[in-house]
Amino acid sequence: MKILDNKYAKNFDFIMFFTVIAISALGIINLYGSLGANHKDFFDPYVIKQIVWFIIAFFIMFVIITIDYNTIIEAAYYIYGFILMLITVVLVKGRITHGAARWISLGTFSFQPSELMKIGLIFALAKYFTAYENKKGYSLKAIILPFAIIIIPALLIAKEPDLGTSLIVLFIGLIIVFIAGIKKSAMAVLSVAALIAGPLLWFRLKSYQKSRILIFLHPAKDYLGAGYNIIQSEVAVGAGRFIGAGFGNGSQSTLDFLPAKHTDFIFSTYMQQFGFLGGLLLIALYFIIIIRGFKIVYRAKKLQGFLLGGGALGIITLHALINMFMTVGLLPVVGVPLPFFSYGGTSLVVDMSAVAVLLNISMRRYKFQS
Amino acid sequence: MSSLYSENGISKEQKNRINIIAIIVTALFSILIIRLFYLQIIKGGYYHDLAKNNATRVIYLAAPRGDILSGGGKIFVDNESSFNVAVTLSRVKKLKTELGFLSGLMRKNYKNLLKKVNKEKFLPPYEPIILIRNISLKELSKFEVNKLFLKGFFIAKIPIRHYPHKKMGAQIFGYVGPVSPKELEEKKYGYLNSSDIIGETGLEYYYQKYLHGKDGEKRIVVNSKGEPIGRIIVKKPVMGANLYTTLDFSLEKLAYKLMKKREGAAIAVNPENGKILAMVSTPSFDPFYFSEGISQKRWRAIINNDEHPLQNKAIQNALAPGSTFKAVAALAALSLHLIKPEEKVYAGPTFKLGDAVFYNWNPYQNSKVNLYRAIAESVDTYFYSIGVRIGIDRLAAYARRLGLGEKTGIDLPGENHGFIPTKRLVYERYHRRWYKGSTLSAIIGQSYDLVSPIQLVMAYSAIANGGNLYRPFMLKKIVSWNGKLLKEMKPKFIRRINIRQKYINAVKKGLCEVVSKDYGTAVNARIKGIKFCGKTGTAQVISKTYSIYDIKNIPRRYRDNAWFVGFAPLKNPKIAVVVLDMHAKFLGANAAVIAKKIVEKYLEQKGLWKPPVRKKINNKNGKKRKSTLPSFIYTSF
Repeated sequence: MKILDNKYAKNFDFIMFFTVIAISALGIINLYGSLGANHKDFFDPYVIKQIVWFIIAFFIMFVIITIDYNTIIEAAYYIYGFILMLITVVLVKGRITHGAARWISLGTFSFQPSELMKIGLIFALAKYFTAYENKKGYSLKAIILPFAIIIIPALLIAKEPDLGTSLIVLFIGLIIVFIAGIKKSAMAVLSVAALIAGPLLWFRLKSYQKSRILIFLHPAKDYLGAGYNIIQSEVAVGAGRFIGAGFGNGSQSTLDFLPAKHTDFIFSTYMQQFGFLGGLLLIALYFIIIIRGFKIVYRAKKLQGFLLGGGALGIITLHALINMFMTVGLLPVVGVPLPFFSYGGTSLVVDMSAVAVLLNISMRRYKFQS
Repeated sequence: MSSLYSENGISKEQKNRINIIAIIVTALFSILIIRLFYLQIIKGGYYHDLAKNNATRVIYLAAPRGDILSGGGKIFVDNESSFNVAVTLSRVKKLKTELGFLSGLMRKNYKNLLKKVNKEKFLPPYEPIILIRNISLKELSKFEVNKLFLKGFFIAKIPIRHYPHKKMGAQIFGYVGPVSPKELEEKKYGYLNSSDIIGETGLEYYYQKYLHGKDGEKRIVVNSKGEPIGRIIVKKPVMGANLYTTLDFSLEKLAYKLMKKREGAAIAVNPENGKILAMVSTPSFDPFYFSEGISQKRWRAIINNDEHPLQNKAIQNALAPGSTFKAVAALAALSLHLIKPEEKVYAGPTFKLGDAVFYNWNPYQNSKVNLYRAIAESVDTYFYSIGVRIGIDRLAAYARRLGLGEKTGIDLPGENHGFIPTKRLVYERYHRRWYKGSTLSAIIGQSYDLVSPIQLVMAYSAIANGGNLYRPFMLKKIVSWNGKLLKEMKPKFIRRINIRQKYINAVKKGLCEVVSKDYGTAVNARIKGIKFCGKTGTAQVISKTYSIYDIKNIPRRYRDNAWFVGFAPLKNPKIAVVVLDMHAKFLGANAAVIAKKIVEKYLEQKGLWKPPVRKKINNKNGKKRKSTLPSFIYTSF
């Protein structure tokens, strides 16, 4: 069996693939731009490191594409269990960065197992719901087990503490539960439970998490403190105006007014340089990926492909939307990177893997009919 | 393998749910674009400015203030470089050690220095803080020698106001001081920065807009830590314009010299157009101490001085004009046909009105006098007899024609408008009814009459020039640093005083006899060859407490105020002078001598008068030459 035969190549979603390449390229350009117009060093360590991450991410992507996703689903529980173990390890003796234990260090590169859990989770849930298929819809009782699959890593990640990732993991899980066919009555009960749990959760939050939410509601209250990030980000975005300040002229990033200008706030960096027009271009590119993703999910012939694709699409969409909403002040600051665009390896690998899963499903949609 | 997985595909409900998600996602993307549109298009300009302000720090460079000069270009007020010890915190390694060293070197209190540094802590660290202002050359050399031990400290040269003549005319030129937060909020000071100094009083205040110039700007691009990086854009400061006053330098100097040991004011003015030739108010103060914020101690000393050195007594002080008011009374009486100039009227030592007795200043007065003599000798009882017939309101009307009791409109701040009583005004202001007897006091310039020296000298100018009332002015022209004429002041005619020429001439004749006749009250003010006319005045500060006026035994502040106001020459008058000598030791006659010296000096400069040549007869014999000046004698009124 050839690794990639013609039939697969025919169903390979090139539009999605090249759009991802386009965003990645734009991301590298933007990374240069964030260093300032007068920056001479072409081999900037930031850029080089990111390019290396791209190569690794593409390699992982191709590995995932070559393996039939059904085969991966077979091993889903093992993968899930392994990542859960890594999270536990990180929790127990993780390196402390920014007051949080999230990282596993591999020489010069380090990664966050909590990010990998997003991929592990969609496989595990796809496997579960395919195994216990129920076309009439799942009752509350029937989703206790998949709910446990979701909530255990979510709680552990929240303990790291990484509330943002924890909530995203929870959200991705709920999306799969939703499209798998949870009964409306069960949904209603869960919603009520969430409404009650919300205020209770508030008291469990760390003070900096509380302040992030409070500051989101009133950023001007603490201009130089916790509100600083949101305000500086909005200033950067707004200052871009229609056509932007131009490549390398994003003063908010080059003069270090923007916090996390390469990672969480890369979108603001980009918006000041390229303005509303540049913003529309980037958003359009994401929208293309998401539309292609919906098409793949919609056209999936098998339930496992449908659920897995839905989950993968959920990862990319959530990341993109949450990040952009956060930088324009529509959501509290949570550490979520912009897919294919932000500097950083782990998130790139995760997002690329999600794309790989979608491409994988797209390629193999006629496999069982041949 | 296939048994484990469904072969049934996807249900309609599941596809529906994907559709729901797709709709939500599309909606969220729309919200995102709307938000971007709001931030970048609608509020883009606002955020653009914010980003720009984020990245630039503006340092203002104060523009040197313009000079204040005499009409002939002699300097009254200018700028000089001061040496100041400053520190740039970002360059200092051990602040406390070096500050300790500096305090020992300069003999300054260490705690005060530290306080100064801490006060400016909110400034970006690269911005210099001035620690010790205006050090002497000796201190400067001390600093230079020990420079190596004072890293981050340096000498900053800053222009400061310089007053070469110290106290002379300080109230007229005014002082400057750091702008206060309250002043910064005022609309007219919109062009100022918080580090600026502004004119607080006098000409410095009145012509602040011109003197100030345009501040420069130094823009520094900084990063989020406030560290400067790269570009510095400089907007050069534009020097303030120079102010040429109407003042005559040597006349001003002389006036100050004559007045500086007294409390009072002197003004010399050109009666033909209102040009102020000299104006002094004494005692004075050194405005230098104000230029960088005056110390509490000095401020209190000035404020608590009961001779009010800050007040410009020439315009801000209104007091009883005393007998100088008789010229006004005479004009009124003549115009109302109450008297004729030549008509002789009996004037005794006292004048009775009902039960009240009014005294003449000279108890030996007992003869018939005409108007000229009544003015020359300042006969009170003559004027009392007019007073009973004239009525206060008619008298006030004539005083007002001469500009008394109203602001002259001089280009200096804080002018006092004085007070000329009428029945209504006195009731409104003091809630008192008018008594006939008060008119008798008013006609000799007592009771409610309040007049400022500038009003008086302008009124006498109007008499001198035949009836034209002018607005007095201090400013000749304003010239920008590059020689452009920005503003030129032209004499402003206010009105004719509307009194017949022959009456004015009659009063003028009387005024001349004050000096020229031997019985005149200002014989000691005679100028040989020049008809110097004027009127002395003595105004009681309080009336009843000291029934016998014994100059040696009453407290200084209860002593009478002495006036002299006059003009010269009689025909084509060139100068009008007023001298106010408050709580004077010697009365009006002395004030007249001061006025005479000012007039002499001015006429000599103009080539209209030469000092009499003194024969050097006695010098060979080694004998001391006697002063040609008449000795000061007690002459009042």
